[in-house]
Amino acid sequence: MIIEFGESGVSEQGERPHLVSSQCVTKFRSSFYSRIRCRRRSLYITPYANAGSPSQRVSTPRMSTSNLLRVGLSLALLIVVASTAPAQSRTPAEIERTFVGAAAWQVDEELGKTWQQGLADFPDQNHEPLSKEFSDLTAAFAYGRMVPDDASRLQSVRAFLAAFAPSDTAGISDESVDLLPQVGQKAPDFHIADTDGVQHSLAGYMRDQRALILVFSRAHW
Amino acid sequence: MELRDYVDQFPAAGAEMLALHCEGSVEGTEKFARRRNLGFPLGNDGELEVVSHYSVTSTYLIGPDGVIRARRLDRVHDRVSGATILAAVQDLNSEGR
Repeated sequence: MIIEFGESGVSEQGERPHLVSSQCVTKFRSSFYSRIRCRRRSLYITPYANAGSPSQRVSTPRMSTSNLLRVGLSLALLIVVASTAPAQSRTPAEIERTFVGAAAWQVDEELGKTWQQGLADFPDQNHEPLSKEFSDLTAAFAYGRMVPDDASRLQSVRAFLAAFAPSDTAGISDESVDLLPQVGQKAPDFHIADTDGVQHSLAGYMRDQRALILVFSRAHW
Repeated sequence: MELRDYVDQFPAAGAEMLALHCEGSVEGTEKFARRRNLGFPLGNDGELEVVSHYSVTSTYLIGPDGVIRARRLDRVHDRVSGATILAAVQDLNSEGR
């Protein structure tokens, strides 16, 4: 098993802390994508975090088996640094520091049970399963606004994976696997409204024969 | 130059731009758009309904046929420039789309 975390950082923008770690997430992702791809060729990831604000995430800790089952064979990796301070008194940065990172992999049943069993013994604070599924770990981490980004967190991740990941990794490549939409592929359709209430969809741009520059989350516009 | 400095050049080159905030609230995005007067549509994808199919801090150029023609996966503080995007659009045009 190879787990690498690269450069990472935290920038606080808007109301929520926005954790920034493209390189970190990419390496983290590629390691597991390689592993999962060998099993099923597809990967669904569910982060363990409340969808609300950071304070809500911290103040409503819950991780139930029923929710795990509700999302099917969702499996989880989650690390928590517990804190007893009231959520309301924390700054976004302090809240972020109490988070480590969490994701669940929906893979095969056997592996699912293994991971689920592992979760039972894992700290259950500050996490609530989401019903969302992501095809990309980058998005999953972004949803939870958290990445493992320091030594203690990395150590926690290592410990968890060492305990619960499959031991037989023979034949599993650790090469990076890029599962994001590629140049030359059809772009995934979408529907979303802008701040003026105008609806946008890829199908709409195609219908109008317009090329589209689709930009996600810049620090400077 | 920032991206909004190219808002007139992109359409002139044949491409529209749609920007999505993937962090913060809908209200925060609306406030940001009003304050900055961006000149291009900005949406809030805080629930990651769209970006979960793409990637955060990325930029995609999608042709009128819906095919991805260029892709940049960046870091949030090290993003592809407007000039580079414009060049990609112009390349797309020169290829006859």
